[in-house]
Amino acid sequence: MNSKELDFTQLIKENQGIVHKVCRIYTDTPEEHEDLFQEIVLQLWKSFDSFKGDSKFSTWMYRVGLNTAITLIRKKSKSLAFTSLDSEHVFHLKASEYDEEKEERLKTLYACIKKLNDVERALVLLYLEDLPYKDIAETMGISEVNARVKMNRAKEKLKEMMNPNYGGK
Amino acid sequence: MEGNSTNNQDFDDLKSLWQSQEVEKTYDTDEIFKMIHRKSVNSVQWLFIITLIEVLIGIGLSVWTFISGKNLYINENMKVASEEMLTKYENFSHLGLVGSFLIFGITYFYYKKISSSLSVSELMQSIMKFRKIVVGFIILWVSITLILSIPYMMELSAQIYLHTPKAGHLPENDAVHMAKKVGLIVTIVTAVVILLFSAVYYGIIYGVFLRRLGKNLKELKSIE
Repeated sequence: MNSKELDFTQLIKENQGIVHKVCRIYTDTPEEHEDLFQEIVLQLWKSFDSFKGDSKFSTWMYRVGLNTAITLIRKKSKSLAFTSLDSEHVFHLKASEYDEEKEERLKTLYACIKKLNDVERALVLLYLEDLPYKDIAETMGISEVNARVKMNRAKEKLKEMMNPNYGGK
Repeated sequence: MEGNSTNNQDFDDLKSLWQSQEVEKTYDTDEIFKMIHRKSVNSVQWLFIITLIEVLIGIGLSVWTFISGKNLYINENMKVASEEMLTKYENFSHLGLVGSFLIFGITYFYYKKISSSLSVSELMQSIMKFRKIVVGFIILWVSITLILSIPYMMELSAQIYLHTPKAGHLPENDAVHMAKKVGLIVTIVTAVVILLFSAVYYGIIYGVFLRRLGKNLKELKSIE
């Protein structure tokens, strides 16, 4: 492993949670999750040289990860080089904050996010990750005002779906 | 106002719920290293690879023709065609090849511009341009094939007809007139066959990838 590869793999290892979150909102099965994870890491590697450090590494990861997820054709069956990974077990509440009700709510939140369209999913992810609107707009390539408008619509949809009386309309 | 603040409260709760999740570090550096050396072929790459293969086949045929001194058009029937016509046809073929090179160069240029680190809307625009170029390539290629084939087929089939015993029994003027008719019919049939073949070939090969890209782009377009 040369020094560039070493730096890259270390950075990905430390920030892999971002990639896992992107994968979880765009895939339905552990196989798809893993497949998308590998594809995002590969795309991050390919564009690693273009990362100039003018934005945070994590912001750049969101951008590449979301672009890859949105444009990737999800292959349903594929031979995998890695042991299958159950995405349900990758995510859990921090031990100090564990609460069964919260865990259920988190699952519902993921399920509702998956009902949004691809672009809205990206917006909601960036919002929940607490990125400032300036970074969200930059990642999506739209104006800050437009990002706020789109976000409000996505949030409205999400709120409606999170409502216990929502019947999957 | 109150509703708005309730909304914000709801979303602040969701945000804190989201951030309270912990993601296990499931991959170590060795596994990540393996991932970066994995081969990736996505739809855009496939489109580019197919375009490349087509151009390479065209170049291969040209080079073979040049080296061997043979060409694909020579067979028994072709002997009736004039040397001048064959030369003209070959020259046009080379022109078509130059055109393909140009289109390929442009395709490559737009392919290189597609990068994962662009913003989502920039990425969409790059892919849209790439799609247009690929479609342009298809239209140009089919048009060249048609334009080259029409006069050639007309003359060739007329000549073949004139060399048949049936034409020999007709007065010269009638035979020439009939040969023109035969030429026209054969040309129309050839044009239809070329169009059908192109529709099936490009519909299957490119259609699949363009449709996949189109589906994702439709989603992306909603950002505008």
